[in-house]
Amino acid sequence: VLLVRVAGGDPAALATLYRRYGGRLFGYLQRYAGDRMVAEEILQDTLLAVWRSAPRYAGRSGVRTWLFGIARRQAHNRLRVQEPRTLPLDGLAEWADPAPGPADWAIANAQGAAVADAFAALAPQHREVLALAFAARVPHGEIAEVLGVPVGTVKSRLHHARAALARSLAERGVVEEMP
Amino acid sequence: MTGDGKRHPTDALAEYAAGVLDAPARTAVEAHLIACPSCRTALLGWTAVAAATVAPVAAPPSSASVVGAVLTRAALAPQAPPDRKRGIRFAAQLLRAELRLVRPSVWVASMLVMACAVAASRMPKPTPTGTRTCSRMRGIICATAAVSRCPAPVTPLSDT
Repeated sequence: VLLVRVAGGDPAALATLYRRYGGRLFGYLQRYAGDRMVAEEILQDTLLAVWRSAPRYAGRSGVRTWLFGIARRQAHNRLRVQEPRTLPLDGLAEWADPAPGPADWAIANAQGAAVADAFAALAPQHREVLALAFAARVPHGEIAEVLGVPVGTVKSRLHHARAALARSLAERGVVEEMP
Repeated sequence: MTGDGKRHPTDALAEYAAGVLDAPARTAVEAHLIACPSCRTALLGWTAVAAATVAPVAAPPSSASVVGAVLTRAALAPQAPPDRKRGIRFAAQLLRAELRLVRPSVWVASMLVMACAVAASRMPKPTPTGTRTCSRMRGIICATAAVSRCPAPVTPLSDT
């Protein structure tokens, strides 16, 4: 109903849509882009694309999935992300022991600046899946729709992203700060 | 599997840490966590990742500023209708392809037939002279049809 009003050119409906989803979209974009100003630009691009393409929303996916799909395309346009169809480790069915090791303590103890640096060093696909899962708090089933991959791939990509984040923090010496 | 035969909800722990599980799934995970120390420690890892991902994210810009900027941009740069240009480009590509596929004699014959049809439509009414003209036109049409049946010269296409 809200998108129908947006499609009809109602600015109040666009504002309502933004208030409902803007926080999560911005969280995702800021983590993905790694820069607040760039994230704000992509957020504007996203809302502009929503304003223009709302009449073409066919309802085949949920509103949130549709919005994140648009945000992702806009981010790729701005950031010129080259997307491989699959990552080398995507097909791996098994992943590391889920018990937290020293690397997870490093993540837990890392401070803002160290985390931002470590995130910036991650592969875009790892940044993206972490941003969608935790900054935007999108369920894994919807992440799979947004990324166009199976849910199993989302889960394995998350595990590899977690390991990569821990490695990235360790390379910055954060592990030495462990208790 | 745990010692009491229950499966570990390993796949659900990341979503639990993100706070996106629905109530029944959350309750099931919590019931398992009470009895499973290894899943509790595994959850710590995901909680750490969740906290690290969320912590330094700034608050989003206000609705008024974003929506205002978007409406201004929409008004300043109205979306160009791409369909017309795309249609013209498609028609040009189609014509180019047709030119290579259809023999030149067929084009000539088609144009002659069309010219005859136009001439016939401009005739005032059927008169003896008109009837004679029509029979001549039939001759022209038959001749053009014969021309179009001639074997086409074989021309190698660059992209085949």
